[in-house]
Amino acid sequence: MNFFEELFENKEEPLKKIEVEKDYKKNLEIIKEYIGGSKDVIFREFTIGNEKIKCGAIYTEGLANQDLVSEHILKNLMLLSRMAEIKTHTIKQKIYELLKNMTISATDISEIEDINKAIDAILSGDTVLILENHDKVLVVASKGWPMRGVGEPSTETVVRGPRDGFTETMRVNTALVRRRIRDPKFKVKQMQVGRRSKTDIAIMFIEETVNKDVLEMVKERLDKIDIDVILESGYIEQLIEDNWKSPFPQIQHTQRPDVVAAAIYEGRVAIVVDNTPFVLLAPSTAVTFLQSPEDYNERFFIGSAIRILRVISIIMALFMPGLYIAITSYHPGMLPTDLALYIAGSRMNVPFPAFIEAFIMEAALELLREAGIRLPGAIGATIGIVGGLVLGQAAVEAGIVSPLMVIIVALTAIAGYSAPNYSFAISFRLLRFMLMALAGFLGLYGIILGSIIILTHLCTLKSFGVPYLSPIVAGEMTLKDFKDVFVRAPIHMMKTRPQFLHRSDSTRLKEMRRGDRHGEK
Amino acid sequence: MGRNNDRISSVQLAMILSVSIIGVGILSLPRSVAEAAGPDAWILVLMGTLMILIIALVISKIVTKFQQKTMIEFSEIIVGKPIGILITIGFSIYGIIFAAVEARLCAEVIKEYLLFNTPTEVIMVTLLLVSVYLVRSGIEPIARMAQIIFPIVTIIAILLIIPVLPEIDWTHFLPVLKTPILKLIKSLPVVILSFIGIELALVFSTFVIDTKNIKKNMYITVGLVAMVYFFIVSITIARFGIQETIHITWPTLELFKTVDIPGAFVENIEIFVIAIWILSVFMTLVSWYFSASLTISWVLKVKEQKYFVLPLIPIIYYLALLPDNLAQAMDYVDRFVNYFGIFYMIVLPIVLLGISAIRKGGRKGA
Amino acid sequence: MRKLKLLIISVMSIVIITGCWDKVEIDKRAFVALIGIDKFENNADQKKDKKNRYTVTIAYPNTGVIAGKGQGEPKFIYTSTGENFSDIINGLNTRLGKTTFFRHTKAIILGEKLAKDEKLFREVLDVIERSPELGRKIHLIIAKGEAKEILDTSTKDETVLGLFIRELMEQTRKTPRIADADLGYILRSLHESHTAITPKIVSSKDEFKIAGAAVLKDFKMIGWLGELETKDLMFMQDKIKSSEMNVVKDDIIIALRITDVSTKMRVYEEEGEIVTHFDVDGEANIQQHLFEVRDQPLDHEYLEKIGNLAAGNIKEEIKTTYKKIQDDYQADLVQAGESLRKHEPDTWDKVKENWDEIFPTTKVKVDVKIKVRRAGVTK
Repeated sequence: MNFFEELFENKEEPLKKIEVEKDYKKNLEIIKEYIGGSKDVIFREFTIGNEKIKCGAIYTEGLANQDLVSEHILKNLMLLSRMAEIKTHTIKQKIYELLKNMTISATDISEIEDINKAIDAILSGDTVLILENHDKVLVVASKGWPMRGVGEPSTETVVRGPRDGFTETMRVNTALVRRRIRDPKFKVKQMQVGRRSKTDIAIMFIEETVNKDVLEMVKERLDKIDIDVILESGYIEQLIEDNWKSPFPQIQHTQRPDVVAAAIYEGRVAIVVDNTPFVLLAPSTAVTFLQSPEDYNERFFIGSAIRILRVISIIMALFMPGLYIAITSYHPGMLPTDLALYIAGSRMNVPFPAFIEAFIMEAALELLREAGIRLPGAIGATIGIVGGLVLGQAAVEAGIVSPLMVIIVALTAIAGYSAPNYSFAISFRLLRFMLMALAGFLGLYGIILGSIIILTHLCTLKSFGVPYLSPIVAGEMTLKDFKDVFVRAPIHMMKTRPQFLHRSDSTRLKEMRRGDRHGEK
Repeated sequence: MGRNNDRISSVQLAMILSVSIIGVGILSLPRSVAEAAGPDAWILVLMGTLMILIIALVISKIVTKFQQKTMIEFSEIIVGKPIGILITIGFSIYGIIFAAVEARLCAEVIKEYLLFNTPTEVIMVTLLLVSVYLVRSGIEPIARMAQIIFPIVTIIAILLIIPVLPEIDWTHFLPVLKTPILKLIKSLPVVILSFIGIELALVFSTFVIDTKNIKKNMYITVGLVAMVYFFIVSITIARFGIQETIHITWPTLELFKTVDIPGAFVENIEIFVIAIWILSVFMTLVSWYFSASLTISWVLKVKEQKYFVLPLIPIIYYLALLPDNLAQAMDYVDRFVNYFGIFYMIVLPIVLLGISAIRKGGRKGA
Repeated sequence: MRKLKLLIISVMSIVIITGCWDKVEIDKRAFVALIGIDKFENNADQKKDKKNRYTVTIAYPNTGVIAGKGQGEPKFIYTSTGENFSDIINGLNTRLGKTTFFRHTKAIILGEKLAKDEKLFREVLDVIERSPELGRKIHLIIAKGEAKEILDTSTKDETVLGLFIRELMEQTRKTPRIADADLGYILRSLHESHTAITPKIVSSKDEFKIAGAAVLKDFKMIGWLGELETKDLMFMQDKIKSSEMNVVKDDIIIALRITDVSTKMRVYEEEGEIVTHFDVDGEANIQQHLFEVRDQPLDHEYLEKIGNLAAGNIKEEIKTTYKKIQDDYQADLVQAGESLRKHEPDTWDKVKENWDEIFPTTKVKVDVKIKVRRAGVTK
């Protein structure tokens, strides 16, 4: 047995097994006892063929495709089976084969012995058939519920790149990824998490490129989860991340199949959770949070420039308000003379110290942002304009804040939104307040202390055993890995996958473009 | 859950050593070499670097000979248990004193340039508490931190010096080689002592996985630091001249005070430079602090060094507050740290290597 | 982990409860742009028990006016007297209601009398050098008369006096009549050869002028250099960027603009005497000739002649000024001694003991080459 089979072997003992009995009535009773009483579970009893074999079909309305149930199961069993000339004794012995081969025209049908499993099947949309005098139940795949179509994701929008995004259905999501990876070594392993919710989770990876340590860690941590309900991949994320005390996300989430496919190719592991369009990617490092799919789609000059811009803007969003406080209240010597005099003049009637001033404005900004998200579309935009323009203008005129502060706040806001990952950006927004407080108490020295604390934290942090700041802090300093950090090297130069994810098959691109320009011979 | 398995590469060791060597000393280095060698300061730096290369060779010989053994283990093997323990205890005292010195001098500079009225105590306590966080996290995060901070500090420093270049005057290095050779040799300790920190390799190399590369990377360390020193010393002297350099307490900072970036957002960038420099001093402090707590844990045979980090704070703090002023602090440096430094940097490695070589030879003969 | 939390909380509380010793909001600072220091004159009303020695005048701008918010005086000027500089600044802080801040100080103006008093002047130099706030980029200027008068001058166009002086000093790029000497140069030169020059400032009613230079020797001012002499000295120090000059040829006054000047100074021993050799190289543009001069084509030969004439003029001027420095001041302003130390260390060893006596006896040799490159747009 190879590594992967061993890893995903079902080691757990199933819950207590309830054997299917020969008695048709009793079987029905047991199932009814478990899930009866709900209006949406339909028990349909009928007889098959001329022999009038009693049969019960159980399915959940809404989850099962009603057309399929009626057209391909009920109709076939009740009407068409009469045309088949079958002898009574054969029916009784080989009813499963008969039904499977000759009667039911659904794609997937199986026979199980455990009523618990049958109940799971019913609740996930399949149809269960109970037959008279048969000690097994039949499960016919009939999943089909109303779902959202594949649409453009609302976050992580790109100008150039595919427009499809994940939906709430796991199967659709895995299919979207599978479409991009036709490698036979690409595996989708499935498991269920949640005592009550029994949420399906799919783990996706390519056997030849995946970092086995990471995969093992993912599986191990997923196995350890013992929770009643998983509603969103955020639950999983928080339960399996390395350090819950960190403000930084250690697992990336995305709505874009192309991002997931790229990550899987790089050797990372994707975790798809049912009922949410957000797919998790592990391990994730600071660098991966700064990458946007568009970097690769555009030509490398543009891709690199935009990425550098993003790094700068993250740093700006983190430090600017703090620096404003430190410089205006502690070290005005750092400003050019003319600017210092101007700031001093414009702050002349402001009653608060710079720290309070900055705090008011930054808090107001966060408030605006929150309100903008919660309110429905059109009103949200209005709130933004009203808050941003009118409030800012009025605050300056009232003399509560200085004009420069408004500029700083606006700049930090814009800079903060340029990070492609929402949860990464939000952690920086939070840390900004810490730096502001430190700057308010110790000036530039406070900012340096704050940066040291943040850096130390980033240095201790790991995501599934991979240092968070890799490859910047990799043990072996090679230039190879820096090709996709601050700049995005031309694709024909990125010959290997990132080393820091330690995988086996590192070749990404075979030799090309050694003078063989297109059109030249 | 942050699993740190305490393994670093030799490249990371080089980075730790580099940031540990570059600390408070760099601010006054141009002055002390100018004092010692006048216009031949750059020759002095080069000569000192050569000496340090030999020391680096000796140290790396020892640590590669006793692969992944801790300092206490290999010194016990070479000179016997009691002396081995004594050496290790001595190193932890040295580490504590050096950490205290770094903290004090850093606080003095901050007080002089950034926060004039804030009590030294507050500056020091905050610095120490922040360093506790990193020291407790162990060698791996320290190594990563060093990897980030070293390039940041050096690159920013070099970039900021560029605007000075049109104003420098290389004739300040004339006449060449007029200083008597004997005087140069006598003042070699000035440069050698500015490389204090390289002996940390004795302690930290136990964590290194690829021992065979230690020698190469120790050379790289010496090379990098020497380049930084050479650059700072030559630019400072070329900008100010010998007389002026000798006259200024912290010529390196004064150099940045003359930098005027045309049309930039910042004026008086020495404030900014100090902020960056704090990062470097912080790493020096952390290295010494960590080595102190580590050696103590070896002596007491405790597996985790973490437990000794917090209890050391009051000691370091008290020691740092002992000198009344900067002059006295410098005096203490001369009195204790330099002796310790010479012992651990030069005497100990040579003696250890010598003894182990003799023993090995003896065993072969027997 | 609980310990760590406690630690963080304790750090935060220590900082928060006790913090903010140095916090002074930017609008509560007085950005002193200009400092004037004078020697305290022993007036009749001086009380005997008070040992006033200095008069310090500071000027800082009304930032409200600059930002267009407030009204009133564009600048505030305060004067105080006391025994030493920091005393006075402390005293001023009690009167200002703002904290004085010196990182943006652009210039320090010293009164003539103070500059001539060695002890006071050395004290002032030390204050400036020791202060972490005052950088080496500021200008030290000596005023003819009192420094206070300069600060009291209200100029017409620029409200911030210090900035105005900075702008004026920027003019060194265009005219050599202002001594190009910032504090860094002055300190270095004083440390190395005990001599230096500083720019000179003169005020009239509503304007002032920076031109010429004051000569410092052994930490006190010993005399002035005129504007033209300053220009020559700038030639010698290789600090000139461009200069104007007139040559007379065939009764035609030709105005030249000298650019791209570079001077190499060499000091060496020749037949028992120290020789200072200046090698000046430059280019010239003709700015003015004469209208309708028919028989004088501006050909190469003619231009060369003009260049040689200009070179001759410069040579004479430099020689005269060098003599003046030697004879009147005995001050090694060109740092010939330093040059000797660097390039001819053996000679220097012989003369360094009594360089002060030897310098006035040194010979000077000047080689000037001026090439006329452009003659304007008329033929």
